[in-house]
Amino acid sequence: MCSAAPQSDDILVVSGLVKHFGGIHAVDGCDFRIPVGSLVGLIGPNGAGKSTVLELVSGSYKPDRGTIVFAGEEIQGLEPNEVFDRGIARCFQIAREWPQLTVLENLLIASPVGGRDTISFGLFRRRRARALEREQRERALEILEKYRLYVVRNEFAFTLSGGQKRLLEFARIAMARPRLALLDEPMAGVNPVLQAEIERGIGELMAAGATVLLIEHNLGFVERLCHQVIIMAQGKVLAAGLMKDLRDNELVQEAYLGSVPGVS
Amino acid sequence: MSLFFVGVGSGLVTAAIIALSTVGMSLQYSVTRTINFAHGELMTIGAYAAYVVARHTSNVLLQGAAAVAVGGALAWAFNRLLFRPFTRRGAGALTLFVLTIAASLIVQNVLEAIFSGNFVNYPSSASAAYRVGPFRWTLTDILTMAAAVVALLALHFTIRRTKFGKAQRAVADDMTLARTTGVRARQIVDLTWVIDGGVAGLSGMLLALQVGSFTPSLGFTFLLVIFSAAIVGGIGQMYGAMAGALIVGVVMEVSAVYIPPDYKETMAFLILIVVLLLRPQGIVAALSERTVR
Amino acid sequence: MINYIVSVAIIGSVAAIFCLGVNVSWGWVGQLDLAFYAYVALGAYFVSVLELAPAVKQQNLNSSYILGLNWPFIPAVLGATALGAAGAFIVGAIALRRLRGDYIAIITASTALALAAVLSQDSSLFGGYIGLYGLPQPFNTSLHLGPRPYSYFYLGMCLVCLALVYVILEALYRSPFGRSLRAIREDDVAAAAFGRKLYWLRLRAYALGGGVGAFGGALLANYLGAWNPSSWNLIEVTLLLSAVVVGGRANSRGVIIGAVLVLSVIPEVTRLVPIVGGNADIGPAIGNILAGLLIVAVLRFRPSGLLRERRTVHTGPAVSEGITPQHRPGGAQEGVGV
Repeated sequence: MCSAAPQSDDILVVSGLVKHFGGIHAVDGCDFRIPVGSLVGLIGPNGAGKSTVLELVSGSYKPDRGTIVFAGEEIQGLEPNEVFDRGIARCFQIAREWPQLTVLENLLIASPVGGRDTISFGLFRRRRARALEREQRERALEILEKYRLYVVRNEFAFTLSGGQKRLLEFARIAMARPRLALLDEPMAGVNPVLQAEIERGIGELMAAGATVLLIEHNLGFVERLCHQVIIMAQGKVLAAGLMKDLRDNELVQEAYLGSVPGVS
Repeated sequence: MSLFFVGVGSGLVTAAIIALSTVGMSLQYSVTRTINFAHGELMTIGAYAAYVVARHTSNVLLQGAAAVAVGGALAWAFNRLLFRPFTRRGAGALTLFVLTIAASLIVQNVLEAIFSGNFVNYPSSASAAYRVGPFRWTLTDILTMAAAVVALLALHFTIRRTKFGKAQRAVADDMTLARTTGVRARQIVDLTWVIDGGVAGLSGMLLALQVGSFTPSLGFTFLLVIFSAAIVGGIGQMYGAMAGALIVGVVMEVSAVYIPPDYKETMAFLILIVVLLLRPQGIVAALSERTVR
Repeated sequence: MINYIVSVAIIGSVAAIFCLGVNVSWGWVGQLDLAFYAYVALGAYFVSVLELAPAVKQQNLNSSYILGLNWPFIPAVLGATALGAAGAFIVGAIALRRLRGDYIAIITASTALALAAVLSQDSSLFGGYIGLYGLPQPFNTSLHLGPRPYSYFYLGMCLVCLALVYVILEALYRSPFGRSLRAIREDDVAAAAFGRKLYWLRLRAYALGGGVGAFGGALLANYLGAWNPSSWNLIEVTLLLSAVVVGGRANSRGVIIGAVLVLSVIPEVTRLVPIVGGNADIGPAIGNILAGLLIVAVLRFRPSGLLRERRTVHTGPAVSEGITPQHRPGGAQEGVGV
């Protein structure tokens, strides 16, 4: 358990988070901190509440109790679009692209819109609108290039392959330039070549200044890349710290393996 | 004050008609999860079927039987010709909506082609109003309420006690899960549609009896009232539909005592809006939430 | 004969404007606006009460009405459009709160039905059973045209209005506003996750559609020179919807084609149907049946309509040429700049 006092360079501080769905205690008193600029892995057995924590942070669910503090501001209870405006972007476990929009448009939507999607802006501020559009477009094209999606930029997103849709999810987050990126199992069911791309993508996100919290079952990947690991089980945080330290933690082993080796 | 009770009495009669139709729609919604905009046409076709029979015999039971049969047949057609083929191809909710709107357009206009858009008079002997306690009812009124009570009791018994009813509730709850326990979901859905059409057809005939003369838009314009009752009671809840029908029917008729009766339907609309603003899940849903907590 | 064609063309262009309005809610956002015709009626009604002289109270007929400000054509049309959009805004504010497709459909349908019920009353708000009549012909006090040339003029005016509506809506479709709406249509959860305010966007689109409808209604009322409560029939919305479905939703040109097909061609063709069995309604009824069957057929065989939604295509090099040099496969060479 994290016992140190919250640091001022923690970008996300979660305390006492509780979320019940009827009789199911999905999250049952969860506390953790995420330092700025780190790559933190959130691991644990299925049903531990990891995805629910992500949904709570991103605003899709509202917690029953507890606080979520992002960059010093309490954000629990805010709507998803308000959470996004404050700099948190998320990736979905099953890719949710906008199918009948082109790949390029998918990216254009991902950048913070800042009040530009009104009727008056669309009709009257023509010159400014066009300048802004051009900027956004250039940035989007750069990003598409990086993820090798440039060639399909004009295709409807539903025509993309599964792997390409994954990359599109990443490209979208890159476009959004978030301060905190929430990734839900980005490697799930993905071939090794694509995995390398996604790793690169995560690196790019961090190079652009984002803190990354990701849920992942691939422990090798977590161990290799994450600065810190948070382990959850049954809705609570069991332990947090460096992976190599946690390997020997009995609670962790029991949660994952169901038994502690060496004890009969 | 006595006028108030007369209003309540009328309200009970109207509620009977609304209840039959709304219960039918609720049952259908609970297994299809789609609003059927052609629901009013099930009522209208029942009214016209009964009317055609009524031109040849004054046997009310036969008229009613015709209404039930034709309504059920049309509902069966909706299911087999429209819903099933399209849901099998994975049509989305919005597409199904639009299809029911098209169905409504087609049925109304077929009726208009056959019977013309002019008012037809439902042949029935005008009867005097009797004093029953504080209420004033004609024989037709009493017949209407009796028919509704019988039909609703039969439905209640079917849903609660029979194997079909249990299967229907299972399908309404979770179709995939129900299938895994061996329930023939498709047959249940088929039968539910027919029941929906039957009770709606009957309610159409009773409505025609009440208003005396009608056109092919009879059921369509009544949809507003049905929607109100359904929302008040909670969409897809059978008992909620009955409660909603009672509330909407009585409020409509009682209000007609105090304000110009032409605005009855506006009252139903106001109830709809108020409920949507305050308690959108409806009454029954609200009650069951309380008990869980 | 020419007169006939001109009047069909005028009705057709007004119908096309209606369909473009329906398309905003239905094509761009994917929300079914069944109350659309209410806003058309509002537009026609308000343009009438704005243009007419103050009501003269007559003895037995309940034929008075509100306002009566004697406004000239253009301010009256603009006023009617704004009031229609306001009406749509109010209805939308309630209907869109729940964001559930079936609730939206129910509320909008109920609004339309309720309005139809209210309009069928004999009320001094809208000229009783007779309705409002005697609307002045726009611009004719200065033009002094005879009936035949005036109808050409009106047709020209309607086509100009149609072009105007088309251009404005296309501009909005391509703007961030239109893009956000389409994202909501495709996946509103993802749209919210990327910062879109769902309720306000939907509401604005809804009011915009209503405004366009009101504009068309104002044009229609001025053409007919009158407004009659009984002519606002609920079935019309279904026909508008079928026009948009058939023509191709979210594609403005498709919508116009659908409008012409369903709202001009079919009714005119069914005029030729003989009157069977003394039922004068059989012609129009068959036309409507055809329209309904057309919806079913299109949804079955070509769900996106006759014309598909067009992709906004970005031109530029077909394959990127080293926009970001360090990512060229093979590593460290400097790419050729763009």
